[in-house]
Amino acid sequence: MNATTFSPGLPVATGEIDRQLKTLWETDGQETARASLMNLAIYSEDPEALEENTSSIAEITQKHACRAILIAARPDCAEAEVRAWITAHCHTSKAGSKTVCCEQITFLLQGDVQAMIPNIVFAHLDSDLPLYLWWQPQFPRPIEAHILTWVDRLIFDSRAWGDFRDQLAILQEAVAKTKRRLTLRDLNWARTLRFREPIAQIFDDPVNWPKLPTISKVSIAYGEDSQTTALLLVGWLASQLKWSLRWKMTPNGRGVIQMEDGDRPIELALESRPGFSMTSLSIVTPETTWRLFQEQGSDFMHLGTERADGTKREALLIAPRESGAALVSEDLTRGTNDRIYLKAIAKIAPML
Amino acid sequence: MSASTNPLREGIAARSTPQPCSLVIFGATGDLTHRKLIPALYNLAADGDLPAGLTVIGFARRDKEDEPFRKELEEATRKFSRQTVQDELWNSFAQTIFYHRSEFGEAAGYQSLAKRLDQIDQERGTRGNRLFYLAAAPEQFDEILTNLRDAGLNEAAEGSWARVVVEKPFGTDLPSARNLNAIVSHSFHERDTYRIDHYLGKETAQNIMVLRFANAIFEPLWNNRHIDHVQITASEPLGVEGRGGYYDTAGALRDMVQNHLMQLLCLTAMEPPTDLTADSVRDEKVKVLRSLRPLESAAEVAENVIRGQYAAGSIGGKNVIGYRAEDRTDDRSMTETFVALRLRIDNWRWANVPFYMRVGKRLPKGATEIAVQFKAAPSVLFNNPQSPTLLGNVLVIRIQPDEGISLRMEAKIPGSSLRIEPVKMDFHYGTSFGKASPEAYERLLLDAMSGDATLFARRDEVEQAWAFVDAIEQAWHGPAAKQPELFFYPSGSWGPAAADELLEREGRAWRRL
Repeated sequence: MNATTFSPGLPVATGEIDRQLKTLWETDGQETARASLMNLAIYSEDPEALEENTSSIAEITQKHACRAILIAARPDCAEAEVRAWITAHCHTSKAGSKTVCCEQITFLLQGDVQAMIPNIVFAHLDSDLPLYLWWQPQFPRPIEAHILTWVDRLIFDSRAWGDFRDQLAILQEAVAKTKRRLTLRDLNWARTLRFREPIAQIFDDPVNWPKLPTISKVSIAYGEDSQTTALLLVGWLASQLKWSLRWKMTPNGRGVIQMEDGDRPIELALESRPGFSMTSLSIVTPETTWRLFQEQGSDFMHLGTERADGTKREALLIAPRESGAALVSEDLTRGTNDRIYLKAIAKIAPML
Repeated sequence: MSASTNPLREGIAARSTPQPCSLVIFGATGDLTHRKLIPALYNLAADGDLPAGLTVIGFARRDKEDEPFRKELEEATRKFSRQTVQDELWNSFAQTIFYHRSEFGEAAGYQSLAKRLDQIDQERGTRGNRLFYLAAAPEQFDEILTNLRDAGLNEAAEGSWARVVVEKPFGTDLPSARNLNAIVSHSFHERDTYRIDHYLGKETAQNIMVLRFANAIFEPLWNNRHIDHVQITASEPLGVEGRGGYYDTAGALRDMVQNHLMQLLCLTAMEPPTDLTADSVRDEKVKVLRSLRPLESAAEVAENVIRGQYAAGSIGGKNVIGYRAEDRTDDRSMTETFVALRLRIDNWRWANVPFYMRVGKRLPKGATEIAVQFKAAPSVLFNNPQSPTLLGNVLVIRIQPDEGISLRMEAKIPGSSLRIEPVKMDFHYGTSFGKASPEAYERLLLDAMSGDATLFARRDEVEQAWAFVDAIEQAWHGPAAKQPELFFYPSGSWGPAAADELLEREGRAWRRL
């Protein structure tokens, strides 16, 4: 952590956190309301990430009142040490009449952090509220089982996984050991929502949805770091439309994914381009082609519809931002069901 | 086949997108279109909730072209939208808006509208789906609906739909409401008729059912064994604000009680519906209206209903004139600007539980809320004659402003002696949920496009409410000797003293807001 440019708040002794939080509210002096609908813990192993995560919490609390618990760990340090800070994020409520504040408790942990995390989190939860844990580093093997037994949603980003298969296996093992229901929220999956939602809208239309069984081609262009995002989208289409996916080696030694609806082949074109995020997706049927695309840096997604008779239509949609905080914020407004995600993952797992 | 079978919709929480349609707004140059409808449509577009191909056609008398019309609407949307208008999105949305000039009574205007809609169907893929929004004055509904029928626009082609949205007031009394309903039903089926009461589109009004039926702690207490009485209040500091001409013929009873307050009463008092379909919910609401004990004579009206009119006074430190001195009101007007009612619902759940309602203009503050006053704890332990009287718990559902719910309960004051004071647990939507609530019209427009009539009033609901209100109006306008008194109250007060006495004689008092 760069202490000269960033401070995560008021330094406090770990045994004094509750008392100091109380004092924070009592001395505020303004007409403020403390609000909390959940506990949101963020775990990172990069102390430099504290500043960014504090900014993320400031952004998330604009929409989701929570008690935030930020943990920056340095497991490589030999000497065990815990330092803590408290702060509040305040903003004017949508009604405009009140200042609404959320608490943030920040911890810097050194040493054998795996053993410390459960207690650090459990001791500072806002009672009776759900616990959402945003786990930022790679999952260790095994994941500390204690922590997951208390977590309601585990948030992670599979786009950052070095070894997708290995990370998925660690996660699945941990989930299997967890006796209570744990919902998995993958930010990489959340990234696909900007495509999934308009595609679902297209086929909500009773004129369009009978065309689902006639889809002949799906093309996806993605940034070079977003291959798994594109595959999740493929997995979603395949699982929801009951298509089969197979990995096949071509004569020139390249692997390709074959997609079939029963015996009917569906062409899949995956194109990697320079850049980071997914940029376009096309769905082709004999009668209509739909193309969703977003220009680099644009806040909008374009939906183009072209019929076989040559008629074309364009529509403009707002595309949600892709930052981690924006994705988490968007995801928190969604339901807690991860069934569709798990189905999509199951489809693509053999290809990863 | 229905869109609900779209497998790609599964797991995406948002509701299904309505089918592409044309929305024709009659009275497109009016206030409602500028302040509410277009900003609501823009917000829906910004949230990605509108179907691709949605086309808005403004139908009005003034000479205007598409572009100046769009410009006007853009200015209004920038002023009244809850979201900041983004140029790129507005420009895209504006291309879906068109202006159609015609007199409401001019048959040729509807024939050309029909042709234009057919053309839009071809060009924009709206496929014959039409939503006609009557944002014009009620006296023009007849000619609009008749002309729509004569032009064949009331009937949809096979596989398409044609719906009509009717703005309040739904008549001015029971005969006119029946007449209006007959006119509407002459052109549109009841299932295609959407009578809009924007109170039902408000988040808190929708939350009444969630509060009651999704929280197991409330429903067992929601009856005459535990509830002492219910108060429904809709107060505002404003006067008639230039609407004197209309208001002088309407009054608070017709303007607010017959529709908004009756809807809140129904949501508070109704039995759990069998499911959340439009008719199941509306069936239960109608049962409440049918169970209202009628006020059958002028004497009964005088005993249970207090009417008042604001006189000169002071609001927010400023002197304000009395109602009769307002622009376009009769200087001997007997129109009520305040009504307080004591209602009885004759069913098992609510036997002997009075429902008090009050609505008024030029009151100290603006608030709409429902307060459920629970019975006090039994007179043992802390409720003995030597202790201060326990007030009983109050659950307050705030509809506007600052939407939320609060619960008052008793608590011991810290200290060595036993002193008990009421404390309040308070939930504010604006504090807990950072996301701004959508405007009522956003929800209602989307529902009408989707064919979901749950939040719209059904014909029998409207007529039943008018039947109850008419009895009061008849007493007020009956033989002078028997007419219940019109009380005057100073602007800035909480209404006439007689309204306080309505509760005092039963040992109760209006809540302090």
